Amino acid sequence: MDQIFFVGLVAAAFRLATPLVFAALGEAISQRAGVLNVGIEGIMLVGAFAGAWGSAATGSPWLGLGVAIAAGAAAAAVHGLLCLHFRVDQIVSGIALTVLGLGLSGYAYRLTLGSDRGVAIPSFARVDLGALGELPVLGPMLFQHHLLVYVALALAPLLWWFVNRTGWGLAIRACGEEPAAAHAAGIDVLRVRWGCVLVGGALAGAGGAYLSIAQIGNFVEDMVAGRGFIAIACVVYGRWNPFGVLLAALFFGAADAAQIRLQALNPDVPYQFFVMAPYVLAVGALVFVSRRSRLPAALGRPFTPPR
Amino acid sequence: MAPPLELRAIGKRFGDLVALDGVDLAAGAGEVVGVLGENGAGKSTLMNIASGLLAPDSGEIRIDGSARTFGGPRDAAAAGIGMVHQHYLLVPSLTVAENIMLGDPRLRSLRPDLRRHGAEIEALARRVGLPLDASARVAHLDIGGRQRVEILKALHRGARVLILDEPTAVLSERERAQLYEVIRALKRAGVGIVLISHKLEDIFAVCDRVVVLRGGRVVDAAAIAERGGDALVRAMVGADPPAGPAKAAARGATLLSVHDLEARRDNGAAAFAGVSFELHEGEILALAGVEGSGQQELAEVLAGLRAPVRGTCRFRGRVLAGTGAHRRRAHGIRHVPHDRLRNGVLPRRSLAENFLLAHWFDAGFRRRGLLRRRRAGEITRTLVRDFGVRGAPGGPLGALSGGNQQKLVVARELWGDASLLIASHPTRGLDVRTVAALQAALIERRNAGLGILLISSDLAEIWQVADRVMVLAQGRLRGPVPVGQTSLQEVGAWISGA
Repeated sequence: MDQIFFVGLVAAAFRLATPLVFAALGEAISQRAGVLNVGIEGIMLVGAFAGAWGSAATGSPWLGLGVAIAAGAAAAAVHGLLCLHFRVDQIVSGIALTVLGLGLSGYAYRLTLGSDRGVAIPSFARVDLGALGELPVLGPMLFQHHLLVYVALALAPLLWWFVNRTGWGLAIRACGEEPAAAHAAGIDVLRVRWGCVLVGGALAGAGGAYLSIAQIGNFVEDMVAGRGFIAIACVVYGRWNPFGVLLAALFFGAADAAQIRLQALNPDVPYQFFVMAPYVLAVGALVFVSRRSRLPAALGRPFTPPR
Repeated sequence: MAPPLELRAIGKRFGDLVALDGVDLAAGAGEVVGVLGENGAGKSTLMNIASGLLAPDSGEIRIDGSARTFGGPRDAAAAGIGMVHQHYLLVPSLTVAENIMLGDPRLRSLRPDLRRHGAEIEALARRVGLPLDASARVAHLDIGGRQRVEILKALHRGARVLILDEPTAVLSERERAQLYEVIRALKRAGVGIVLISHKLEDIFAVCDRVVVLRGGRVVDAAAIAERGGDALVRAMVGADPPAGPAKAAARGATLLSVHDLEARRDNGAAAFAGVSFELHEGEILALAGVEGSGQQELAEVLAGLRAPVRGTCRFRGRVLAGTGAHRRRAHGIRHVPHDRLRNGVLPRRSLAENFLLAHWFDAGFRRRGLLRRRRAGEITRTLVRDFGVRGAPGGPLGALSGGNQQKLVVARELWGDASLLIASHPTRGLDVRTVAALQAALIERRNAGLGILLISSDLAEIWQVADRVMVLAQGRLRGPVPVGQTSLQEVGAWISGA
């Protein structure tokens, strides 16, 4: 294969996978505690807008990221309130959140940044890793990305360690598998689930902000374009294990990078076919994987403490 | 020395029902006390009070001689009372040590030392004589192993008295023997044990003393050496009640003939085997036994809801092959399921729609593929009147009281050309008037030629309405025998496996 083509593909795979990694890891945490959040698409949009707005308002992409994380957690709090407090069906609440996020981000954009065409949105620059970035082949593939790409990659082992090695992780797993047993053991199931929902929202918000203030440098309505749903597929594909989720996200990132290149190489084929490809891949993968996968036993089931 | 757990004159009412009436119970260190009684005798209520799940209306709980009030299970656990429920509260995907340590404050750290805690747990396990691999996943343990984890969990939290609720109900023969060993080891380690059971075998195998409950009262309490099995069964079931109204004059033709039937539970374990009996027109055949002994599975096989492993059922001489409730209903086989809300009705739909649920396939309710809702509504109104159901026929069934729901279910099943009724606990949990009305309806239809298989754990009811009685216990069928030719004691002994 053409070397330049391959280098570009791998580099793009990392870039395109990063928002998926953030969102999917957040979703994985939430699901391990037993809360399904199909609204991360909406949360990512909120995060994308909040990141752009915060960055423009403060002049710092870092503060913008902070605003996006807070906004993501706030959007997830809506889900937490509905599902954990009022025990609304988690799927219904998630769908509502998707639509809410789409409307809210678009509306807020028109009110603020959208009405002022000239506003500049400070964005993350690529990190300069010195000699590493200069390496032939490996340099452009691995060492010329935004800092957030490396943060996403580092998050996976960190979350794996948290979930599988710490006492809090144990409590999270117990709440997702057998909340009645966790409650009987004195664990506050609702509090654990609240924490995981908020962390999941914060990560989805960060994933959205990556799109607006690292990848593109602007906010566009509906710019998440289904990545929230792909992230949910990544969680299933990665079997709720942070490392598996990371691999799944990289795989979908690579698929996305490949379809963009195939579009360019095949101008005769309607481009929609290539845009569709990652989603077809997601559905196909789920059919094969989900049959064998063991999801958290209490996923989607509300828990009401006795008495 | 005062016993670690003592219950004095405990009373508890649920509405009009007196669940417990002045019950005394004490468990000393290193003592095994058996609590024996039928379903509904008050065993579970008593244990829920001892473990802090329920508050007593009267009487007192004494721990080491001083009176205590429990605000919840955590208070009871802090006082050294450990409860091992019939349904284990374990997380299957976690290890033994993780399950036992779950919720322990020492685990609230970034680097919990599970290996050290695991070693501690294994040391405790060795000390009380129930060795266990702390790093094994609970999902890989058998039922007996999970039970040992539950026991160890209670001991690890400092329990000095363990309450075991029907611990042998789900165990195999071999696991039961192992549990007896565990109980003896705990006794040697100085743990007090309250063993709730309806099996005489358990009581005689490990208990020092026995307390017999019937109708919420202590009817017998003695050292185990002073009592034989006969005396305990007599205390448990009481005196023979008077037989009910006149039985069917003549036995009708054979309706249902079951031969060498065998079936499994949902989890794959054997439910029963070698079951053979006949049911005739115009008789009520009662199936007694403790719940969970396979009665539900037998009812499901007969109703076409569960495939048998082997054996045949013949209805009027024709083999009933395969499953499918629909075809059996077309034969006139009707079923009142034991869990009405899950398998019997749609609580949010109207009474008429619930009627149609069992009869929509009847040609009389369809015209060119459309349901004849008006006709169903008319019939439902007649049923509501005839059976004295209180509630609006057009409103949701769930708005009715449990008794009225059950009346409608029975009325629905009896409607049309019913020839065999399988009724699982049709009167359970209902008030006296509804029970009497339903029993009268069953007897009336019996006299008109209907064959009824009545599954009940209430022996008084069986004596009241049934012509013959049989018992399913430990997967085997005893009987059937005519009710007039047996005694409560004989049937009680079958149920207890004596």
